[in-house]
Amino acid sequence: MDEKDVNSKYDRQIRLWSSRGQKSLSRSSVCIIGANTTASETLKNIVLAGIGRAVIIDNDTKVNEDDIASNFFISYGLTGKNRAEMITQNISEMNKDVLISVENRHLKELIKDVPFWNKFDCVILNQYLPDSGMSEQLSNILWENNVCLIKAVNVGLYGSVRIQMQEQDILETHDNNLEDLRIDNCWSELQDYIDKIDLDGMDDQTFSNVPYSIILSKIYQSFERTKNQQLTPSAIRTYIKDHLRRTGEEANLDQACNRAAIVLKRSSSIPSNLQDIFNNLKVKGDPSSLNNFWLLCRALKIFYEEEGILPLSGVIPDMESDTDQYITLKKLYENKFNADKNKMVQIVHRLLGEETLPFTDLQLTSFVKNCRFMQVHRGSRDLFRSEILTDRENSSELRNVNIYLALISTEEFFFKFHRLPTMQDRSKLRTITISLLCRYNSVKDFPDGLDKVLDELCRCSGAQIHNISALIGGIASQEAIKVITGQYVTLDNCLSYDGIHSQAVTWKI
Amino acid sequence: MPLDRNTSLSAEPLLKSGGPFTDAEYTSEFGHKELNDAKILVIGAGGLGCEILKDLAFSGFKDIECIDMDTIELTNLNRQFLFREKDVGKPKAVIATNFVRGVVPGIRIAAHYAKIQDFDADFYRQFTMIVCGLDNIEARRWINKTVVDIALQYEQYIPLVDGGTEGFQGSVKLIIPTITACFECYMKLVPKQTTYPLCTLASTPRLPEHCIEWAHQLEWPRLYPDIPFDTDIPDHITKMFELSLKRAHQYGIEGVTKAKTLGVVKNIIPAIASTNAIVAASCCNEAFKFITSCNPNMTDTMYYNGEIGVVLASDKYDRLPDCPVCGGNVKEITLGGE
Repeated sequence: MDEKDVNSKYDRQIRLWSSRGQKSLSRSSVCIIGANTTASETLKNIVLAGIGRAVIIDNDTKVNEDDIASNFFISYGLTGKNRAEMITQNISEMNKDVLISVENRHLKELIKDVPFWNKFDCVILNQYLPDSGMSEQLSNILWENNVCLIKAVNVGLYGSVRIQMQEQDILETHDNNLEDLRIDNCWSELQDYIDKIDLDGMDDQTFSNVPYSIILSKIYQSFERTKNQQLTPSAIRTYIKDHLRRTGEEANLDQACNRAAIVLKRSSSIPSNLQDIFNNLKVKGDPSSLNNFWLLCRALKIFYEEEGILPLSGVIPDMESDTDQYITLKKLYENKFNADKNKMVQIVHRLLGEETLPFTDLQLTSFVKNCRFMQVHRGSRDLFRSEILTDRENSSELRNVNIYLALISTEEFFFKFHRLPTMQDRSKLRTITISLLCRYNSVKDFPDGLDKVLDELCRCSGAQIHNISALIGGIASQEAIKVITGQYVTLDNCLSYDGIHSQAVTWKI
Repeated sequence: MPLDRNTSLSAEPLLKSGGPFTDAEYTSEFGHKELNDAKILVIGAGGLGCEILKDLAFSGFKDIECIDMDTIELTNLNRQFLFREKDVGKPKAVIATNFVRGVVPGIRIAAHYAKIQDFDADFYRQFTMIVCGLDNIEARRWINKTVVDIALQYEQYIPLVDGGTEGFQGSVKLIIPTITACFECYMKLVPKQTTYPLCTLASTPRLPEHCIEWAHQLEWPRLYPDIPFDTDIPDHITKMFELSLKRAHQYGIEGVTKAKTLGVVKNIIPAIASTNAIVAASCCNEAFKFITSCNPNMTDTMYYNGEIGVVLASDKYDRLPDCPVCGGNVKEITLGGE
């Protein structure tokens, strides 16, 4: 965290995504289509977070009674005024760092303007578009330019959020503890250090200051040597009790017992998300054509093939010990991290055939530290897959699938009738849902409970309920922040929300 | 009496008639009357509180009061959207309720710049429901005990909706005193705050946190026995940082920064607008359904986590039979042998 950010208005969020994440936000551009209640709530949250700029497209819509009833950012008594301008004025006040502007051209004029869309990091759509053609065109143009589209809508107490993006590379997933102790795989310097520690020759005080990772490594190695018994956490605990305990007060041994399960960790194996990345065709392409992320992935794959293990993260947990031993051990891990990082540099040099690096040292450090848990998301332009339904036919998640189906049927209804369904439209909506199910070949029977969901949806007559708009807008804005900062793991890639049971279910399309 | 700005209009279809999940006895008159008559207390006008006040006002509630003992700080402004830089130093409850009154003309909304402990049971008994956006456990336990005691003594059941957030995570609890689990029943799920053993601080520091806590707990009281450390005085923070840094250098420990020093001594919990928006909206959605009966409530508690994808799930949570607050069994303990 940079000194200037301490105690600033962004202090409480920089503690989550660091000054770097904040910088990404401050340089970002977001487009919001439509200025209804959900859009206003979404915009509010990303403006507070400190994005660079926001552009609203609202096709000259004028403030009506529904806006007055449900939108906090519409001033009372100004029915008939330009809606987007009023939102801009009221939300701008919350954070002067953010430039919000209203795009005067209509969506219809903009839809084929590639340079217009290319400048955004993220486009957020909180309403149904007037026809399916326009909806498809928008989806296509953003897909082809790999601009993220977040579509988040709500009717009554139901809502859905869908993220469409060809590819998203997430390095800092914050998914897991980065601690990497290598109990089963000591490198030579660590081995030398461990060998020099003679547990039997120590007095009780010194003994109780040996970090637990050293103790577990020694036990691991002795088990491996004798091969007398199977290495399990309980065998380790028994070994500690029978062979190592002296006073019974050793806090380092307590920690060794509590964390005994880490001996089962195989340092050489890699998680499936990383295997997928290594199998990706991109890591096989011409190195000079790759962006920094994929260039580093390619280098990482070579590192793994040559070393049989990933680079060390250099992160270790706090361990009961004294200052000197702990700091010495920490330095050993840091040195190994730096050595592995240098090896990565050499591989990149080899790949590119030149001595300059296309990335900064900070970027490389972050890559090496986080690489084990990175993820690549691949999106889809489709609205639905039949497996989403068939996989959940007998599960409690079926209700949320029904809600999603009801909402995409509502969109079709909107394309057809240019309004949202009411109780009188029940049979029309049901017909649309059936044809939709047929299109996805998933109708054996009409899904259980879908009728009730359609009824509830029609009962709401298309009302935007403020609380649900705030909730769906909250999720949409949080996903936008994850996309922009490239930190934390974005929804992959669809969610439906049930405000009656307070339950969301997610799936990948 | 209708509001000048009719914020219940958008929920009108929900109020007009019951849906497939609504209780069969529901009537439009009932829903409207309950919404009209409800008097809601909001505790906390911070990150969650600002959202809750907005959400309740736009759910059609017409009579709201708000208690908060804090004043506005600059670091609030990334999420507490009813405040501006010019408001720094002013009471949160007053500024927040003034803002909402300006947006929703005709709403009855009052502020109490005070502690919750300043009020007695009679004060709390005037409310139909209490919605909390608090940032600490102690205040939650206090208000929870207050509503449970009111239920036990007067058979008046004031539901409590409790929201909480930390970074990308949050939760909502719907507490109906003596009927569903109370806050105390959930205590075993509340994570304990990290503490460091004194001997580590005094003789074997390993982490930057150890150096900072040494300065905070041991060195400051030794050097300045007559000056209580105050996180709001910049000079104190600077001194604390310097003490921590000196300690760190002495032991060869890296990573003591001013940001970390502040984080440790103030026990700073990261907070963002989007999580607050999600949790507050969920609280107010439950409040609206509970008061109007237009749809059933969730079961007991909802959990949100946006770190890895989106998790938003509600779950059943049973009362603790031997809960010290709502358990109802008075336990007799005899002290002393002789």
